[in-house]
Amino acid sequence: MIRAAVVGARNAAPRGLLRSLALVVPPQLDAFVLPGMDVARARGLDVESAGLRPVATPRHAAVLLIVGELPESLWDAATVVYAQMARPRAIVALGGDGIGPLPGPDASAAMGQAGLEGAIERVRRLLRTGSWSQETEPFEAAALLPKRRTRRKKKKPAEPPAAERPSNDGTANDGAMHHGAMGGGADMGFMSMVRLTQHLPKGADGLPMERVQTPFGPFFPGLPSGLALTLWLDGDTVAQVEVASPVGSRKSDLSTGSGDLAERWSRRHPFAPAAYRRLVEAAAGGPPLDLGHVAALELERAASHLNWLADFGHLLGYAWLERHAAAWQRRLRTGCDLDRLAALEPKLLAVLQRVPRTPLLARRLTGVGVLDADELEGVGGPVARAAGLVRDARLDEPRYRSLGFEPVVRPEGDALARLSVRLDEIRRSVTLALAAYRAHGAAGAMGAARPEVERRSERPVEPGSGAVVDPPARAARIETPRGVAALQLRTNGDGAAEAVLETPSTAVLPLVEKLAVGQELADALVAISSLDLSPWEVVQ
Amino acid sequence: MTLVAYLLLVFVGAYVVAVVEEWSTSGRLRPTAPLLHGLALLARESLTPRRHDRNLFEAGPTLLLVAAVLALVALPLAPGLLPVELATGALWLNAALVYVAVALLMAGWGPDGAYAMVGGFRFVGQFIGYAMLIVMPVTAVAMRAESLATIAVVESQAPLWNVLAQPLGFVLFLVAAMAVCFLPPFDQPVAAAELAGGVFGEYTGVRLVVVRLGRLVLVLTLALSVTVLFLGGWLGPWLPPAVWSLLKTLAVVLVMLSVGRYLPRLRTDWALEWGWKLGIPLALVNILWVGVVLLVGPA
Repeated sequence: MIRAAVVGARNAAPRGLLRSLALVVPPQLDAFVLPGMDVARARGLDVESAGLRPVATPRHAAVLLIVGELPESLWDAATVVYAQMARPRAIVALGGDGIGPLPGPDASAAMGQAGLEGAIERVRRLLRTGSWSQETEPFEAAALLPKRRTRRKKKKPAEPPAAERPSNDGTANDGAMHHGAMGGGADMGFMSMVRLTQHLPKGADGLPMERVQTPFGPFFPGLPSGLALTLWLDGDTVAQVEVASPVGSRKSDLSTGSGDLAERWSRRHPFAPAAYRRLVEAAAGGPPLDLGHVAALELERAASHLNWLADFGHLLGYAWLERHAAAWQRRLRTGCDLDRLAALEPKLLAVLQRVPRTPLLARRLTGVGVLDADELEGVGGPVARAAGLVRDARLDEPRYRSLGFEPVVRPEGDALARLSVRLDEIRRSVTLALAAYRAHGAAGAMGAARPEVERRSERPVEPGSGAVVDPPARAARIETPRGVAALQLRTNGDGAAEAVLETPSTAVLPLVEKLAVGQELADALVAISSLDLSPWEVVQ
Repeated sequence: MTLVAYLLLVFVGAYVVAVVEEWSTSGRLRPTAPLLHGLALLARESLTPRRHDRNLFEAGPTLLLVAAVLALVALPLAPGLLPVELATGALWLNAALVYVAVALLMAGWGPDGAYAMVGGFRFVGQFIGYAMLIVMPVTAVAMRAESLATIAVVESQAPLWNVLAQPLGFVLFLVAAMAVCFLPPFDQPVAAAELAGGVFGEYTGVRLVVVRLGRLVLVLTLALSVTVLFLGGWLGPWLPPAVWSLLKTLAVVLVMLSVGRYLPRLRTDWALEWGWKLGIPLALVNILWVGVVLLVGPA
């Protein structure tokens, strides 16, 4: 069926001047990206060149761009985002129709830049001709309905009998800021600030302040997509934090599902698909790590760090960094051949060298989100290495040793150290990737390096009795861009029977609260972002 | 007639600022993009948050635009092109800009949302840091002109522009001007990644058009004030006076919109610390310097 209007068209017929205005479609459509720009970049998308302009709030968006299938745990939040958008509003779904209770997408396409550009062009045409319609269905976010009903009840309370009216001692106060009800009593001749504020919690500066409970995520632009925080703000200071990772896996989910386990896991981890694919393959008894693997893994590490760098630049308001990091990330993700990478390497290095020399940057990050080595039990990756801990699974790999690999370590443990470690790791990863490919003698598309799994189709047989027995569990470890991931896998002929996974982000997640509480909001967000945790790999 | 022509110029100037801003953020020069974005916004729903304070929510954006225009009318483009000639024009500029802080506080409180509220209060906190850095360099400029009238300020720069006579005052005023416009790196009130749009995150449709227009006019106002106070206003050879004013203003706009792209956002406490511990002493030094030069320099 050919649609005449967008599903989120304005529900009326435009009159007068509005009839002409309804035809106007700007060269770039303001878009809110779900689950986040980090995932869009990791999928190799360049949303700006496709004619979209990412915005920080759904209020300002005309297009809701959904990248990949949304996990069910995000559906409620996605409907709230959609409900916040002003009409006319359109939905574009890329790489799957799993968009839950949202209205059917106005345009959908396979994952990829060409698909995105085609879908946006279709939406532009729809908006030009069908941004107003009298047949638009109303949309209510189910997640908002109960609250709204409660509030409606509160808005028009039945007049209580005189004996039941709240007393003026403040105990029956429902939050309204009536002077008398806040504690002074009807006979109080003035508004006492002491009494007004005596029941409020005190902030770090000793002043009483009403705390504001505020949700940040799971689609907040300054946090990793999928990370849901609830912050209690004491002014601009974070007084309390609740952390959740709704997109993480449950332990019981790891073993279930159909199809190829390596393929499923690589799809599930948008920032490190090659690493998780290799982890499963190694645990399933695949071939040992070769130089082709090393090149692919190091290229992925560099791309993942650059993706983080783009987000970090966005959070810091450092537009130059955001733009350059995103562009380089895209170049590495979408595949570039050996010759091109060798030619580009000096330019990338020049960009990376410029970052630490940025005025004010070191001052902005020094002392923010400090983590001591003794707080990092079980934590690896750049977070640990930036606190002076030499934890890197690559040290155990002969292939890496043959390439002269040495981990990057800094002692400070703050956000600046984590930035420095990742900048150095990008450099070394690109150098390692180039060295590995040269040694491997592999030319051609690097991003396509996907070694095949050696499938074991026969289950072991007990000697003597000849009975079929479960195979022993195999273990594998790999240094992902965020740290060591370890997998114990017991397989049968059809695929995974039992999987126990330890991921770096699972270990890092508890640090969020420690880093945020007591900090100014800006510092708390910078500290959390500097951890580069991926909620998608959290195992709960 | 002058007022109408002037207001027309204001809107043309604001549009040019929008084109420059589009270019500085996207890297592409698209002259029609701001117009099409603005028109498309007019056709969109103008939503109101569920429990907003109607008066503050509606008044915030309007007051921002009004404050920016009010500050602008005391700034001359050319000798005959000044809508309101005030004997205290430089003082008027300061007074009008104070209402920018009021506008942002209202726009932050009005929607009854945490992000907007934090953004509004961030602006006020930041404003305390640099408000004196607007006032004190203007004082030094007025000392040299021996007048608060903006025409006299420009004429006093005929021998030597204030940017050369008072370089310290110029730098302080330019930095403070960027902070008044909450441009990067002073964009804490509207920080996209920290506050999801901040003060103006809840505005849509026509109201958002007013917000954006107000901000563009504010940038234009501050850029023109830098031109008038420090860059010799309309003074310059060969070209008509108004053209000189516009060219200089455009150059200032370019600087104001570009610098922040290469720096991380400043923290609010830095604005306070640097404003009070560094900026104000330097502004006093600037005033002292101008005073000494006036006393001992050539008549």
